[in-house]
Amino acid sequence: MKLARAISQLHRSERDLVGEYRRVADRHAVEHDVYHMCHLLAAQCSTHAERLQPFLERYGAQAHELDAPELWESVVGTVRRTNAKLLGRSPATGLLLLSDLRRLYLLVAEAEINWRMVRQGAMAARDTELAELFESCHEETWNQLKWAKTKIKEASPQTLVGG
Amino acid sequence: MTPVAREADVHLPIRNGTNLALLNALQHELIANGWVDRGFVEAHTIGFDGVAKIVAEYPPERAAEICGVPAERIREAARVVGTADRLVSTCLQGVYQSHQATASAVAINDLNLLRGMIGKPGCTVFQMNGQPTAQNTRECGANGDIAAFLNWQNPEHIQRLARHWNVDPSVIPHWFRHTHAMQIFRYCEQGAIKLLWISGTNPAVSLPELRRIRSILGQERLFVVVQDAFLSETGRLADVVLPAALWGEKTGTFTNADRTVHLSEKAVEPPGQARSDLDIWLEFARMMELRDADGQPLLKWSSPEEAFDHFKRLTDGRPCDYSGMSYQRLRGRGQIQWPCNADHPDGKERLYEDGRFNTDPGYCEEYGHDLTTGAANEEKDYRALNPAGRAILKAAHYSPPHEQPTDDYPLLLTTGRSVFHFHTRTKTGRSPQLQQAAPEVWVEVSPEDAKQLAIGDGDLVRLQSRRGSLQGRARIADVRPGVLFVPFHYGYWDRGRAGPDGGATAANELTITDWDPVSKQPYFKVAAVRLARLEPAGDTPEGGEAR
Repeated sequence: MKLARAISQLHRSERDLVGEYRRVADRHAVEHDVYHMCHLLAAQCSTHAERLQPFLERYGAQAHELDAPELWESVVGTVRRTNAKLLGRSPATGLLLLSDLRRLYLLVAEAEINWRMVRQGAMAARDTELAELFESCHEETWNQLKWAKTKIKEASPQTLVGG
Repeated sequence: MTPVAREADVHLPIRNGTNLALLNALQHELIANGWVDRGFVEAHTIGFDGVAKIVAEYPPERAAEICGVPAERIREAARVVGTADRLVSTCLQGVYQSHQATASAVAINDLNLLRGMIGKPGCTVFQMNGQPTAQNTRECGANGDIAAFLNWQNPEHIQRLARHWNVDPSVIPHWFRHTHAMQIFRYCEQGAIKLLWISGTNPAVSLPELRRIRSILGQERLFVVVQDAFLSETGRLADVVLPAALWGEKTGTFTNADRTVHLSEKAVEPPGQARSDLDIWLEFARMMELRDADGQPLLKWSSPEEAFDHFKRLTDGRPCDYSGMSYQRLRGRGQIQWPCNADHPDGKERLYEDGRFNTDPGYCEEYGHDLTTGAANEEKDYRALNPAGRAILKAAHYSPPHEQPTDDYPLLLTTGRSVFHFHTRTKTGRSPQLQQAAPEVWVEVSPEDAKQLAIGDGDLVRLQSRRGSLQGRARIADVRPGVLFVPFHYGYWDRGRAGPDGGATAANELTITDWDPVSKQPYFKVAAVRLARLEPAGDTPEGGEAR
């Protein structure tokens, strides 16, 4: 069933987002709201990926691991946070943040549409458990998209015109 | 234990930062025990199913584990709320300045709405203000919101404001919600903001992580103007200080949290070069040659009464309707509660008596946010809810505070107030009786923690967080084991300094730069710290007792 492929894509999206949220958090550790929120949202995506696991098995779909091992990430994370603090007083950080938020928005949009596809497939395959998983996860993904949009709308005026 | 807690039938000394888990459990119990006014909820609210789905995951046992209080006590509290004939709920900074602040404040509204207890005698919610004038600053736009509870996302509201001032709508920044204080400081840190004008507040003591705040205000590239009645710590970091008049030295109105408007008359002339804030702003507008759309001066008036009359016209038909008030009527009656208009010429004592709320899309002040992320709704999201004058029930899941105790920082700090001092003591510290009642900072420690750390009552102790340190006398007190309390009033102005010279005394040296995603209020109630004894008790006089 091609549904396996869609579930696999969704799993990859959520896994990618875990890594990307953590990277953005550390890269902008001096933007305190971004730092804390990105770690919270990374945890949401990580839970989504875990909850998809049984369905990957059910449909024989391919799982995606984190694109970098945890230890490596923790070392690089420290470097990124230090970097963020060193560069924190430069006006250029505003533009970097905006471009990172823009990339996040596009990645979340991809995850969101992947959820929609999986949900449609689940309905057609009469897989009520998978459809229920959509019900309990999709709203968080939708709010992540709204969050990225809100932050971009907030940061754009000062960064593009004021800074 | 506070005086209020001592009077309580049920006292829940929950772990800092877990308000939302407790409030979700209370809602869980209201629903599980059938204590919900179904008729009211059906007719006057929306969103019940969404709330029920979330709070179903918070039985008292789960909240007990998160909050660190017995499940049976949570059930008891729920029974008080669930079976009361009348219900007045109130909260303040313990909610607004703690983790998940807005979500928790909203959950408190939910309790009254679920019970149908609002708009009737003995049935209301008091979402209190931290400062006496916070209500009127919010209404007139001085807190960054748009005046008269107008909605920045509603083009008709912006048109109305533009007509009121006779300016082009494009000069009113309405492409996003106002830039909040924590973000303004971040922009200053980045160097994106080059001029900062601070009026009537003392961020060098009252914001979190003071070393950071001082270093931002002290930057060569940032020009800082401070307008205040006294030379505060913030004033010492300013490039220009404008001495301002206090109440009693100027005329104006105050509005209470219960919407009561009072007129406060000038009794004496301001001392020295001090001028009222209004006079300073008017002079600034004149020097800047601010003009309206016809090239006339933007501000066409000069007295507090004229400013009031200009403002009250803008509020006509808004929830905070002042249109039927005047200085003369305020002098005659002493006080008037808004809304005061043709329908309610003497003001109105109670809101929401008919179960109608200010949620119509064209009327509301905000389209709302996701409580977890702060993501803003847009008009179409809000219209899809179709609130139509019904109250909106909302809930969010509990998430752990961002800073948890560790081996290095094993204790949790909460900061707060003493009854003897207001904010950073700029006024109360100059009143000898109040200053004597609580002359210096102290650290409240539980008997259990004191014993473990060999700390005696009155010992000099040192508190340290990842951001800074503080020294003060220990007070063995009835606080939760693992938790420390420090009042936040004690800055450095009375030592003639902007910051510490040796032992720091301001609680905000320790607090974390973190804020609520919706309200943007900083979190002062959760920070991980470690505690150590420096020297045994001396004969320093003891201070006050309340917080």
